[in-house]
Amino acid sequence: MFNSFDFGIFFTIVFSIYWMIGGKKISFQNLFLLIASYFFYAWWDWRFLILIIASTVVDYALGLQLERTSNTSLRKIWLYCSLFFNLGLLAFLKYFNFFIESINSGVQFLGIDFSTESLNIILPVGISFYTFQTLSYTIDIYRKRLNPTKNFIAFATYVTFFPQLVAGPIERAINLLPQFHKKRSFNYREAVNGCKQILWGLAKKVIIADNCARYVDIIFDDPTQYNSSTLLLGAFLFALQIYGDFSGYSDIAIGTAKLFGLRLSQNFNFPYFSRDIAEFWRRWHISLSTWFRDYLYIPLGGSKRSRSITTRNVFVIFLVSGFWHGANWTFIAWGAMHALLFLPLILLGWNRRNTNLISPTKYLPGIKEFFQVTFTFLIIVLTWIMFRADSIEEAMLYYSKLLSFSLLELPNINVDYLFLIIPIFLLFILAEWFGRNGEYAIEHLFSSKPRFIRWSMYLAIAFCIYLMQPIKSSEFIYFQF
Amino acid sequence: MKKFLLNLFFLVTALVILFLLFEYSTSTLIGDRLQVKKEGKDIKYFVVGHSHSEIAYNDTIIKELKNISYAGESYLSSYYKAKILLKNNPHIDTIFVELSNNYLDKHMDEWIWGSDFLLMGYLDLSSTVSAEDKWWLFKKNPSGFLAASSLAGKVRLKRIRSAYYDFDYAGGFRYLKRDKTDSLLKAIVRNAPDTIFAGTAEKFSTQNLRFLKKLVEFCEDNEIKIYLIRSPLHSFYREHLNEKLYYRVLETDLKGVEFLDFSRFPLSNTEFGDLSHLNYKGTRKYSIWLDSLLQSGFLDKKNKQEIIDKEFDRINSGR
Repeated sequence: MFNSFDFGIFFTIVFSIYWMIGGKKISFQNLFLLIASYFFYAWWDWRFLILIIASTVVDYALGLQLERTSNTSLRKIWLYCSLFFNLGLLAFLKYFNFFIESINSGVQFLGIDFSTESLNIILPVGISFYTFQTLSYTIDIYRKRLNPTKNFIAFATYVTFFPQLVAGPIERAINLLPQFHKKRSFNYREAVNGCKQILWGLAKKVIIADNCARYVDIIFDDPTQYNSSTLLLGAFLFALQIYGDFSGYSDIAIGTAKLFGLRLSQNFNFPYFSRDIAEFWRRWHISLSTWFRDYLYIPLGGSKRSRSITTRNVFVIFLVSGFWHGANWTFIAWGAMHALLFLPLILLGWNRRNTNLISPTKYLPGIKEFFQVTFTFLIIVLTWIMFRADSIEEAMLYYSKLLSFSLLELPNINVDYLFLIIPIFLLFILAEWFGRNGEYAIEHLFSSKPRFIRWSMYLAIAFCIYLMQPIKSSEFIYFQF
Repeated sequence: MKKFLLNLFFLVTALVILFLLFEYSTSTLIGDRLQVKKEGKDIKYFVVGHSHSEIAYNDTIIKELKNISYAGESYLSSYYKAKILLKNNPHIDTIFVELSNNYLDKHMDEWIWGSDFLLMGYLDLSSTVSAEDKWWLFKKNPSGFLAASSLAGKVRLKRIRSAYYDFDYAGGFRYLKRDKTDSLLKAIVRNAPDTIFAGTAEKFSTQNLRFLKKLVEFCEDNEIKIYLIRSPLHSFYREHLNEKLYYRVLETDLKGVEFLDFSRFPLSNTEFGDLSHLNYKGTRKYSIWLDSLLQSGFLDKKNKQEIIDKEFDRINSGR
């Protein structure tokens, strides 16, 4: 975990050796990063290294095969091999039991006495991320948008680069791989930028996500115990938790990469300041939504064909995207909800109405924008209930309990240290708002102010991370995907 | 790179200073204003220790005694808790300190600096623990200490905000209804008869002992009479295996501290909650007996252990 002491020690050692010894030659840098990345993954479970290595070898070899042949049919076969291998691996390890259980319940529903045993499968951490990464490599070679690399170490480092190995951002080969072919040299400004991003990522994870998680778990554990306003608060806190957790992870990953002289793509762009659902999806988990857009939605025809095909494509992309998150009907239902919310916008041609940053030059949003953002956020909060619930039944129970007159009462849950939580959370929201021009909130915040003010801000954030750390830190949510 | 590392160093140093300032200022502020409950003049003795003494001494029966023991408490917590309570109750000039065999076991280290135990034992005492011991705890378990000190920091801020300075310590007599000694013995005999006394003989928590010695020193410096006591234990109590080590420690490290062994107090299986703890029946029997013993001026007598042993023989013979 990025917020553990162990990772701090690991990072310090890798960073020091990388720049002291590995900094001399590009091959040293890549080899060292590869070894460090394998060690990082093996720390969790060394047995699953075999899968990553297999995935790396297969896609490396298929990439070279795709380049060697100009025969269209043969190229297609090599591409299908890559798709079959990567998606097969994912389907078996992540979805096999889900399929078996769904078949069993479906068959039992029809009154047929039949059942198949599920398997005791451990889901390898990060598999959904690195398989998508390697797939982008072979697909882009097939589309002739990328030349395959002959440098196996560089390719293996691209697949396993430890900051983004377990939970993204899902890096396209076209963006990250060329960086492993160039020698990295230490850049002070980039390193400072990386440190700031790591600090902000940690703040999001430890202060926001972990503190919300405590109450989210209590409320979602037994929603029948609470009044409607508490349930709404629970959903609202989960919205903050998942944002703090996942975008916090992404910030730490991107910041860490910067310290190694590498640039990862932006994964979150202040999604809760979106004015409609389409804008939200351009700002939330960008590396996944653009992956699906480029490798699934557009090949299916996107929105350029008939309305029925557009409708189908929207549902396909959102259902698949939901299913990507996990083998549970709740994720599929969550995807379907977003498809329903997105569909009117695309059919009316309103999906690209809000492509620019909200009130880029103003301190406050306009009244219309304020209501648009609030409305969109509220809808997103409601959809998160389906995402967070353990089953469709639980989600429906939560929704049904949410609609009552007790929505007007005060929440009936005790929150500890409110005198600290409220001002810190408000400051966090303000920082996100005023820092929305940057890649992350504090990138440009106070950047023109004297060093004393900037350092005071960093110290205040670091101290808040220390003070607000929970008793037991929860694992990053996206590790399970 | 040099500039980057230098700036990072300055920033980390500033953060450490900020942390120390926060620790020092909030701890001092609370420490100076701490209001410790004054025990009545009828209370003459404190008993401190972990779950064995927490359950064994019913202070509603033993009139002159106040039980401040707490389950899972290490001698570090006992030391700081007893110190502050004794300082604020100068009329209490005697303390009984539980010394069961398991106090010497190596796993007691975990009771001092294990993450869960830090969260349990450190919170109420954070404003009283010395800077030296805080640093020592940090070195032993950095992440566990930071988590505990962060929570303790929030507790201190909450206290300052609401001007609440009462010394709330964890501890006091606990009523145990449990009665599973027979079933435990049956299970042990049935499942692994050879391992009844399996255990660790020579594992030794020198750190736990260090804080016991600090408590002894504090009592000696302040002319407080300290007795090490061993509460009643079942004859199948597993940690008896380190009996040799136990006596060696008593005769060397704790030489000069009076030791009262009540471990053989005659009790039946139904009077034990399990092999380590009495239950309410055993506690009642033992507390009534101890109360009469203390009332008889037992502590002023010489050869106290002889008196205890004779008492046990008398109870055994039914006189």
